[in-house]
Amino acid sequence: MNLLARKTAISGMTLVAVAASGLLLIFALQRLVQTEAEVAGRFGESLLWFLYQAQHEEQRLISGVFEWNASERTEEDAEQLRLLADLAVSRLDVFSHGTLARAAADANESAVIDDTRLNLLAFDQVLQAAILQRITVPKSELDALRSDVRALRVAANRVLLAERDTIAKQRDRYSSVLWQAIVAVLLILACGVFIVMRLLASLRSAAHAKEALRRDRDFSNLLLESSGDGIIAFDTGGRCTHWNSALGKLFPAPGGSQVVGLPIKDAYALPEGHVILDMMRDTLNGQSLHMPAHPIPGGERYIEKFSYPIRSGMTIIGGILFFRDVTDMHLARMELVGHRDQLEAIVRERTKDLEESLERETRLRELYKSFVSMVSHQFRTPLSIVDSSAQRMIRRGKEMSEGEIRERAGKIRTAALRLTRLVSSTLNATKVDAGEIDLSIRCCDLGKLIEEACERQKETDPDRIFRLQLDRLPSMVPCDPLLIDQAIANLLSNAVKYSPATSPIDICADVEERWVRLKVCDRGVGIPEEERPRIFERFFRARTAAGVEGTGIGLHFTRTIARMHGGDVEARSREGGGSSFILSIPIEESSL
Amino acid sequence: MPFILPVAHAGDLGAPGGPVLLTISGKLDNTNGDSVARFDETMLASIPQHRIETSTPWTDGKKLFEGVLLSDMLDLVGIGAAQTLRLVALNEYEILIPVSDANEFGVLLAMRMDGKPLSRRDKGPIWIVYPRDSFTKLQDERHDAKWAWQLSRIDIL
Repeated sequence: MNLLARKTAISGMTLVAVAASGLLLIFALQRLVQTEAEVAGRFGESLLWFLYQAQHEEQRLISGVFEWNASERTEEDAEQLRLLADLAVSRLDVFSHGTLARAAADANESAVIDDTRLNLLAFDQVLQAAILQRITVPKSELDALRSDVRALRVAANRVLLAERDTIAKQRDRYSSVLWQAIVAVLLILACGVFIVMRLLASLRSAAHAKEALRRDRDFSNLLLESSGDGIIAFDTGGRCTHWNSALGKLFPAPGGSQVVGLPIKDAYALPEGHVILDMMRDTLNGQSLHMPAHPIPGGERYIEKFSYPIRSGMTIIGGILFFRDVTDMHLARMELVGHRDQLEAIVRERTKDLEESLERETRLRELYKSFVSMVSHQFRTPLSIVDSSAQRMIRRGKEMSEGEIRERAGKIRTAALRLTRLVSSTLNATKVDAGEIDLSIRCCDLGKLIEEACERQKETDPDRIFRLQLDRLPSMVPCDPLLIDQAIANLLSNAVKYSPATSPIDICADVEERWVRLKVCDRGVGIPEEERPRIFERFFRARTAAGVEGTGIGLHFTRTIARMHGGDVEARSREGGGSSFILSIPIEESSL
Repeated sequence: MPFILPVAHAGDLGAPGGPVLLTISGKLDNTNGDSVARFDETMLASIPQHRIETSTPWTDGKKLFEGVLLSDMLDLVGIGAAQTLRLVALNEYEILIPVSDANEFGVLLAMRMDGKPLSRRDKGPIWIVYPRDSFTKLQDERHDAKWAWQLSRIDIL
């Protein structure tokens, strides 16, 4: 039999014992009350006693008659006899009325008594006459009375026996009732003993349960207190049921540690709509909540909050709130985040550096490739000219006329000059790239600078026509005259190189807002659209430039100079063929 | 009360002219010879008369009893601090009753029932009557025994 069934059986037995006690008690009481009512009933006048009285008085009357007959029959004797007669009659008369009449009828003695009474009354008439006449009463008159006395005695005998019988029956009945009551009381006693034992057992198990409960409570208090987290539990009414001192340290309540038993709202004087109250409400609705680390208002501590509903079976009976001090963890994490950001910045910077170096390296490699291609192409032509001229001079020897020698030597010199020019422009570009050229800006006459550059160009190409439109130029422009002169010379030499010798070259200057724009236009081969973005790269040469001497450095150098001045160069195709290059240089307002 | 007469003064009981119906003996103050107080019918009639209407175990239905209050009689003869009375009937029936019954219940020395004088043959001439219907505690065999019929003597003990 398992524990539950056993408990149920014991409870059932106890209930049965209680019910049985009640029923037995009611039964016993009912029997006793019934008997009490019977006992309390009036037993009334004793029929036996009155029969005896009547018999006695009649006997006295008979004796009185004898005395009367023997006496002198004085008035006193007459009075005495009348009294005896009255007493005898009165004793029989009582059977005619009230309870005695009923008792006599019940005992079936009415007939005897009535006969006796009639006989007595008849005798009384004789007696009264005798008394009046002072004569004796004949003895024969007494016969009836004597037999009545006997009859009364016999009746008394019967009544006595009947009463005895009644009393004995009554006694048996009372005895039976008392025995029933005694048995009932014994049974009640047994039930009572059982109930008391059950009660004692219950008390003992209640004490055990209480002790177990106390141990559990002590243990849970120990658990609560040993937790570093602040813990508070509450019932469905928002009343605090558990609380630990860690919470007290974290959040001192206005009323000290007297929080258990109070509504949390009151104990901490929380205003309506406070976040804790919201959490409690949501928890009681069955949600488990987590509030991430956040600073305590007015403090430097950071806490995390957790809440869980407490269930008993399927019903939520309360909730529990944990407050975890995560200040150290939070600060460590913040520090970590800082370190990470720092590291990421460093990595980004390094990556950028690396990318830049990579790009530089790539560019450099491209540069070398372009340089090598340029050198192999540009240097080979003059060198082959020098070589072929030298071979011819060796082959011809003395056969060579002086004019021919001069011509050949001139060719060699031109080639050498060209090589020198290639080397020097390459070096210049390298210097500019290496930042070895200092910018020295001063106000100078840009128009004059342009005219002189044209003049110099004309020295090598005397037939070329340069059409200048420089009247809109300001008188003075801030720039480095040496570098700008170089840039303009590059643009002019390009225009000359890549256009037919007969076509003119237009040079015009304009001022737009704070810019001087110098435009050099030719009517030459032009630049293919797709190659235009690349022509300012070092050593790059357009397809259309094939067969024309050049290093691919000039335009790059020009743009570098323009950018050093804060300006730029751009290439466009000219309407009607050819190219136009626009050099922009910023000017000061005051110099306009 | 139809029979309101002046109560006889102490020490002036008078003497019975007719047959004596009641003799009071024992510790009494006022006597009319032989240390006892004797009363005839006339003397009893001169004492204020009272009534009790009640049923009894010896009669059928309610009866109206008239006679002298026992307390009046005791006052008349003066019983001092006596506590108990012995009632003696013509057939020598005896019963003790406490004096306090006289005042507590207004016990009557009844001489008439339903207007007719009580004869010796009908529990007369004097019958001690308690107001049985008015007091539940009187409806008990022990009290019924105090209803002495054919009362002839009262001993003041």
